Amino acid sequence: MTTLKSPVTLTIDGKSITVEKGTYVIDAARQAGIHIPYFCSHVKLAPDANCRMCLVEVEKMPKLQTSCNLPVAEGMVVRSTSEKAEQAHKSVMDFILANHPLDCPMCDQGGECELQDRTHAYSDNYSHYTEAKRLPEKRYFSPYIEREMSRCITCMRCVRYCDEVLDVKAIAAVNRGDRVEISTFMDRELDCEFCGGCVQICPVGAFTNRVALYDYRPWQLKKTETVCAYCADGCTLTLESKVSENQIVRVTSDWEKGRNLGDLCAKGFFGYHMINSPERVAAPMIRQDGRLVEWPWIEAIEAAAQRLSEIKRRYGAEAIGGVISARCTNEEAYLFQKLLRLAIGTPHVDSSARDGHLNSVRALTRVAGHGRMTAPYEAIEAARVVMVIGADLTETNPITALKVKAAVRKHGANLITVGPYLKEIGPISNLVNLSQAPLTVTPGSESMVVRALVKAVVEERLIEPSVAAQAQTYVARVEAAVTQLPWPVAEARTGLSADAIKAAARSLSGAERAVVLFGPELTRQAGGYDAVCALADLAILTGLYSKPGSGLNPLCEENNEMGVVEMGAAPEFLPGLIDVRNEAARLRLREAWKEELPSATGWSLTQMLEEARQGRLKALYLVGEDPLGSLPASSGVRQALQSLELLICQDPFLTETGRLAHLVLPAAGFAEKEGTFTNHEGRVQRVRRALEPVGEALPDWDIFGQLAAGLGHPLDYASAGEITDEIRRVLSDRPDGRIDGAVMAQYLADLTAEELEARYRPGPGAASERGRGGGSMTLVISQSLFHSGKLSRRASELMRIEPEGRLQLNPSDAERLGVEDGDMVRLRTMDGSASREAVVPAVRRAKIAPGFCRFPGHFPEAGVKELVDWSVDPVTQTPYFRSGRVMIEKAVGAAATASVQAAAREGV
Amino acid sequence: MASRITRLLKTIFLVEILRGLTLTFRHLFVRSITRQYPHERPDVAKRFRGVMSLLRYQDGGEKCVGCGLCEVACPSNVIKVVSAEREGTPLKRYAREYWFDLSRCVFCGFCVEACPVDALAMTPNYEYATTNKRDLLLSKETMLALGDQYFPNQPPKPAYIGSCESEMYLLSAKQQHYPTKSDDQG
Amino acid sequence: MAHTPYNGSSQRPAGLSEAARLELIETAKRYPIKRSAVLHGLRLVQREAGFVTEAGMRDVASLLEMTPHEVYDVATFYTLFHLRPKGEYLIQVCRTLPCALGGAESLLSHLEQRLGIREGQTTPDGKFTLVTVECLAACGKAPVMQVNDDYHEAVTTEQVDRLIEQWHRTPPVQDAGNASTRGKGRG
Repeated sequence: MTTLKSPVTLTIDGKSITVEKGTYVIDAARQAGIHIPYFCSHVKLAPDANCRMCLVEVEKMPKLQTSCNLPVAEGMVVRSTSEKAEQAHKSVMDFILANHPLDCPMCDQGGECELQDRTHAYSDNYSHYTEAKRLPEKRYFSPYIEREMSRCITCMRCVRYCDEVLDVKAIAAVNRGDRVEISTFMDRELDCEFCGGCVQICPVGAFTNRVALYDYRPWQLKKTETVCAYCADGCTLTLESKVSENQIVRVTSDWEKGRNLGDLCAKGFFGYHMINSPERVAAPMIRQDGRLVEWPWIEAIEAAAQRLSEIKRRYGAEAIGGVISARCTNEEAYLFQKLLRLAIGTPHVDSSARDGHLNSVRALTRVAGHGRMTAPYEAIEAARVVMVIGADLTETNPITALKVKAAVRKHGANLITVGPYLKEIGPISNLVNLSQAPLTVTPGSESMVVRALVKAVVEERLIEPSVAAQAQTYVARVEAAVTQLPWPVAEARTGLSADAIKAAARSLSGAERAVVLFGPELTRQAGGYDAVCALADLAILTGLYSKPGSGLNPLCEENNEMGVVEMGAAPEFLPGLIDVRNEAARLRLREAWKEELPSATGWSLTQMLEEARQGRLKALYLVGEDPLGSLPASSGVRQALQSLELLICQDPFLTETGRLAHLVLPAAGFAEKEGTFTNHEGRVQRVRRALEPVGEALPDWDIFGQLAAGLGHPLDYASAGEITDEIRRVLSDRPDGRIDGAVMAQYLADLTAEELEARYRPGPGAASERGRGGGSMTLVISQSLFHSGKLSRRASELMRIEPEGRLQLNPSDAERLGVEDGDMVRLRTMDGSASREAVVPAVRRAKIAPGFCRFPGHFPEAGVKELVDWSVDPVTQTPYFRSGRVMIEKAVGAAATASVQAAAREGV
Repeated sequence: MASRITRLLKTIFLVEILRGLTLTFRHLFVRSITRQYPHERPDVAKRFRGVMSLLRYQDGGEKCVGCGLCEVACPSNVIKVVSAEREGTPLKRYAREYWFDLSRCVFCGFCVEACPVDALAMTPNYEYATTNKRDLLLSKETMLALGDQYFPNQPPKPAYIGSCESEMYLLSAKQQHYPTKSDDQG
Repeated sequence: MAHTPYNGSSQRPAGLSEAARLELIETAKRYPIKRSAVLHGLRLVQREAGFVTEAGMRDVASLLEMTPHEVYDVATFYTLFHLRPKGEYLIQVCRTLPCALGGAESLLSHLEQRLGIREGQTTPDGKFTLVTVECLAACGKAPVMQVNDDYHEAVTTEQVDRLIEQWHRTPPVQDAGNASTRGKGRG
């Protein structure tokens, strides 16, 4: 038993129990195994005591007390089953049931309804009420969430959840007394984040999932606990499926399980339709006479193996490369790199984590030995100061954002947001609203803010004493380096005053527990690697690495970015983030695998494309990757793919790249396979199989195994679990998320004054003038709350919520351009004499800073990705294609580029 | 000794056989209880548990709301219900499909007891023998026809005051052009 | 789904006047949390428009950094906020027990008959709105009705007829919006 800080002993129903001071009686009873009935109380919410169901008798108190908001006291004697208490329970039930309709047979909550359960346990089979029941007028609420107010017991859980946890406040209790209805402003259609929280938290059937309306009865569903395949937050989902139909019917999440503790976002709650999408590839396909035709599995694998061997014989193994998606499991990434490195013998293996995440992994591995978050979700919630840099957290990582909201709203943390964002109250929550002193910066200057913060820490003497004492040379070198960055330059480029930056630095270093989260607008913008290195300096100097409860947290986009890199699906890393050039480590791996592995550093994704264009790479094996759909044309991706002799695409869907492929192999989706995902915290979580794969699709690891056998180099595993065991064996000595002190000491000693100086020297030209487009507005390709990569494009409900990409810009910019919501705007860039343009609908968002605009990257067909600058990081080979300078004008009478292109495609 | 003589005499005069035949002959004068099925049909008890049927209300509307309680109550997995929102009638739950596998039914009547809307009834029909086993899988239409045949005079739909299932309520949703789920997705 | 922010619209239909906006901003400064001034904001809206308008609620929401849903929540809770236009004369008849015993029901039906409207309705000419309310805290002189800011105690049908005649001729004293300062002990 854990020791309690200040124990309080009380008696509940004759049972003596000792709990922590401040515990509520209802929770103390639960710990003692005594169930006190309740409706409005909930683990996620502050007590409200409005349903009156949890009344108990307390000795020396004249009246019955609500146990959900009654803190325990020493020597308290509570009776929940006394005659008086039981009579109260019956009366409350009578009141609640007075207006509740008897429509359980058609109510979707029937069978998992808290009111049903309590009625059976606490009510007489008799009602004192003979009057007509209240039947509120039925009004349409939302296509996603069904509201049935006659069933409502006004416990307000939904309203409280929407406020306390989500900070969205999209629903409210309208009217009063027995006429209370949960509704929206003027009873309009619901417009919110669509997290489904109100549906999940409703104890009765007042809120139900309209997408699954009447499709199921709870007891018919098979429940499979797995991990979400969209973003890297790593939420535990319960996929509920009908076995006979092999279909996911709905998704829920357990309030007491997983990293998300029951909270979901729209992607998790409504995004499951991609699993049973009709667009899934059901059988292998081979290109014959320019067309893809279905082919039997055995022959497809044979053909793949044969052609790969052929290319290996003619051009050598180095002419073959492979890229795996960061949506694959750890087991698959591990086996994939084994397949390429051992069975084929090429060092060219990469993953989609190259697209930004490698910047933080490379920098943080250098500093701390691993690239995971150093402050887990619990630490974020408990932090005194939270800084979010370069991410619109609600849109990129909604559940991590909930942890930050909890830190601010439940524990009173000080939140500092850094980004080109302003306060805005809208249907989607905004972290800037919770920040007392948000730093609204010039778009694209996040990395400069980081450098300025380091400068402020050094100049204001805010360096953590232990660091100052232990790493004197390093501190001295940083002190010298930051003089390269004069304050006026920093102020001009960031748009912030030196005082504001200094104040932020002060609160960061002065906090007992501080957490810094950084995201795509730092890691995916040019100079991302250097920016993360500078951020690491900030973390070291302010003690984020040494103070308990503090940490530096990189945010990932795709669900397993952290995992695939750790599994060695990167040319520079072997499994366990071991540098490929590390001779000793490679020898150890050779021993474990009992095989020789290539020693050279392979090509990254960008290098592979370049080498393909040059004719040195002849075959490319893409697993779940669609470079043609995601990279801009200026990267030369199409030309590269067309010059390949063999292109194998293994994907659950036929992607744009897949249409060019010589061989398409149908892969199983995340709900159809076993394995593990590593979320951005570094938690490795089980993925479980809920459905049979669609058609002939197979799990990726199974395909790799068959292909390896076809290549005459068997990699035999009977199940994904066997691969997990091998990974565990091979990587038993790798770091588990703790900071590697030796690595950090080495880093601090090795860091040269030259490198530091280069890091803090402001580059030529102001950050806002960066980019070749020549326009006046900064465009950033961003992520949307309702989408994740292009996978969510296959989820029909998410496509209904957000069917098209819209350019978000500040209302003042919109006014200047004469643009209303939904109007078409033309974006134009000039690159030398060549001009490129895209026409997209615009939407005004007060959140977006003036001079800044962003477009969700999930809609590549809109052509906006062709307008951004393409560059490649010299150190990490990360492709940068998410920002640029554009000219915007109103496009009168023009159709969106997307629809024009769609029409053109249909014509072909 | 005497008993042995008695037994001998009884054996000689076939006493036991005569006694038995007496009973047989007596039955010649008793009314026969064997029915000449199928020419002669028995009257079944009022609560006889025969083939299952689905009922309608007086106006012809199906009683079944597709709650699936019969499905869980069934001890031998006879029933499969697929519920949905009725096209054109927003919020109206009904059984889009109802399958009843008579070949497995044990006629326990649990489903009838479980039904919250009295949509199920057991007909007095016991003549369902067939040469094709597939005929024993009853569809919703078959079962409704059976209901119409055996229980033709059903009461009107109760008002269900205060319930979302009441006609008034469904009508108000319809008048508001409340879209059904299929409209939403279309 | 548009996901339009609540305060993103640049073209604002008539909400709060500039003076009222300034007053609300000033009032909000008196509270540790801005949103505490929501009741005052709604009163300002009602004072200017005669009832709580949609645009007014949106304005209050954006000034006090709330969502319109929350403001609507508050506005619908208080019976002294009117979400629909009301007549020049707001006749509130008490329907609590002492008044009911004192003849409030016949008073109400007389008013209904006389004005040609039902409880909760407004006359077509926009002159009268008739509503029932809970205790007006003048039980000693039942039945009681409150008309705009004035109490009428122990009213008889003859008195009502006389008053209605009188009101038909004259517009009310312009202080209707401040009714909430005096109406106490309701609900």
